Amino acid sequence: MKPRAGSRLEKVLKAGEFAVTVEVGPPRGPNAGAVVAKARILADIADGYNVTDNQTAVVRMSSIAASKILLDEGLEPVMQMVCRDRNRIAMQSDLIGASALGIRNVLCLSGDHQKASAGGKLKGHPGAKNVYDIDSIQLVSMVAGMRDRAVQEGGDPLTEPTPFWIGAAWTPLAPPTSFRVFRLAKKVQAGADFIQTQAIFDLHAFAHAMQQAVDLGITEKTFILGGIIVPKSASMLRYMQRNVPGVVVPDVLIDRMAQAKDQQQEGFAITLELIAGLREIPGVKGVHLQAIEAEHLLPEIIQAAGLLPRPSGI
Amino acid sequence: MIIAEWKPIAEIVARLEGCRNILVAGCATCVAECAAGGEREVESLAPLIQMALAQRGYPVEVLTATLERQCEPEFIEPLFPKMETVDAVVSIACGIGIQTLGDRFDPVPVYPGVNTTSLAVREQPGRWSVRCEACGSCVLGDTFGLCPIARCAKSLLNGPCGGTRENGTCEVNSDVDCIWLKIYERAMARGKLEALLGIQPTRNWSNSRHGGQKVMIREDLRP
Amino acid sequence: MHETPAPRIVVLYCSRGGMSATEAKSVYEQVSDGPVHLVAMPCSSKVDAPHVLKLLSKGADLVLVLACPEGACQFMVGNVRAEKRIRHIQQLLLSAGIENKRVGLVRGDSFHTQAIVEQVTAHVKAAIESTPRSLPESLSVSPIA
Repeated sequence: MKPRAGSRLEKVLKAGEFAVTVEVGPPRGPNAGAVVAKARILADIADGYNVTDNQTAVVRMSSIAASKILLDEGLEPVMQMVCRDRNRIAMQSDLIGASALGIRNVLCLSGDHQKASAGGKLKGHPGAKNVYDIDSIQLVSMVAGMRDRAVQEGGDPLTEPTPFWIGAAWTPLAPPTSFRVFRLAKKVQAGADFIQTQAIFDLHAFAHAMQQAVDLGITEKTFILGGIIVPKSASMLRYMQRNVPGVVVPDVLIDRMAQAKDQQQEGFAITLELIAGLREIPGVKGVHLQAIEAEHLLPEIIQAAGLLPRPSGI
Repeated sequence: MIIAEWKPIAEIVARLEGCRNILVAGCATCVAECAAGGEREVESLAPLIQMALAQRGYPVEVLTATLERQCEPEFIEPLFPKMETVDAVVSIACGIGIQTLGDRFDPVPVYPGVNTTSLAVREQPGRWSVRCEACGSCVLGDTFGLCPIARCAKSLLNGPCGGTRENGTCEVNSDVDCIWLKIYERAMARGKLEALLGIQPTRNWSNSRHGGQKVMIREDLRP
Repeated sequence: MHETPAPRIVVLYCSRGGMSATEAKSVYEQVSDGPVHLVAMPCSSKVDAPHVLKLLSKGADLVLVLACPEGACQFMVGNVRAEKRIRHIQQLLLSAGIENKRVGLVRGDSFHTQAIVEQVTAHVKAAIESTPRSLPESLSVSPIA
């Protein structure tokens, strides 16, 4: 089958390998060196590197710029794009630019509202006017149109198509849980090639959601990667359970962390168990790992999970 | 109704220093409904302005008037004789009324005493909640009578984002329910889930401020 | 020595609290610190922002509301509403930077003369002595012992 974008992530998933993607957060300043440093730590440990787009509405180096820096270091970025800050004109322009720069994966998200400001820890720009011209599903459709029919959202033609491997997000455990799989189906119908989920700590609940996806035939049409955030402490787990919608942390996990002698070590162990657990769930085709402000932990984790070296010759 | 809230009084008073005769003008329609600009509020704001300015060393005469509607010329016209000596007006009507007064009584400055915010309903005494954003392209027929443009912080059209809290409220504003959760519940209650399964295409926002200042014409009603 | 004029006080009292007209008159005669005007209300909940603010702008320095204790209001929650309104008026005065005008609410079972005289005197004193720009504690709700 003809590749949609020819990215490594696409090839690994289509080859039936369990894919690994990790998240890279850009710096809050024009420090290209910081991105290069992260790239060097994370080289060869993943099939795709997500670059966030002003996550939690905090201004950082743009996703497109940081993605290009990663690309120049030999890593394939998954450029995240949110609907909060740009209208469809700006988004298409950025997509064309990203494609011209060699970026081949894009993750389409609605994006945190600007009141988020890193959960209130930074000043941010809560007074900014938000855009939300289109939503994440319409964005997926738009990118698919640019790729498959070389056409702009308004109908004008593009001079060339923009080959992207298109991703979307899934938060299966936020209410209303029974609707989440239908919304996922819409994303796939719109053209999502791969899905990365919100962080999972409750394997049982996630397995149930995955079964619904399998039953609806969704896993035949898209590749789902389970999201994992590396826990660093019991308080971090409690914070997420309380404040991050869609993140469900079982009490038993929080207690385990709280009682551990070395919480970082315990977090490491929990991560490995979660990865192993995900691999057992039918329909899960990969893992998306996030170590917030601690990307240096990732190589060791992925190694310990038995996922290195990444497949070659693909 | 159109809802508005008082500006900080100190901000209003700062504009009035040096004035000798001030008129506080209210409106008995929308802003009265939301307890911002009706007669009660006019008669509260006037003595506050008078005392604040007196304390700052500016003795003023403060007149009051609560018009039936500040957006209708017929209701504004009777103010004309009062305007002879007035050197500033504080209007606590909505932005429409403030500008209508300002146009009629130019060059007397008409200062806003309120910030007009949106179109809302009174859910309970003391609580008003926005229902409509005047987007110009109403989708209420597709969403079982609940507006996602006004009531979703991200104006999403294809279902909820991942930000619906466990208790069903919105992660952006925990004071309100996730409207998409409510839309889903209505769909289910009416046995019409399939209405939410199709992809809603991108919107045309141009029949609103996004298309430039909106002017509505009805040829059949023109003179 | 610069003499500050005696503060003018208006006391709005709930007439169901039991104070008779004679008692009301005797309060007027007994408070020595300044002119006190007593006004009977059918319920403390009849107290309203426009009314109180007008009293203040027309010359009163202090408006004191005497309300029945919680749970004892003839109109159920009238005295609770009165408290909310007084707090609201205090906020308005504060936000307008009006420093020389005060409003407060005091609760009591029955407003016999002596207690009122003591309360009024205490509040007048507090009003004179309190620093500007703050809401004096004694002028938030305080029960009559």
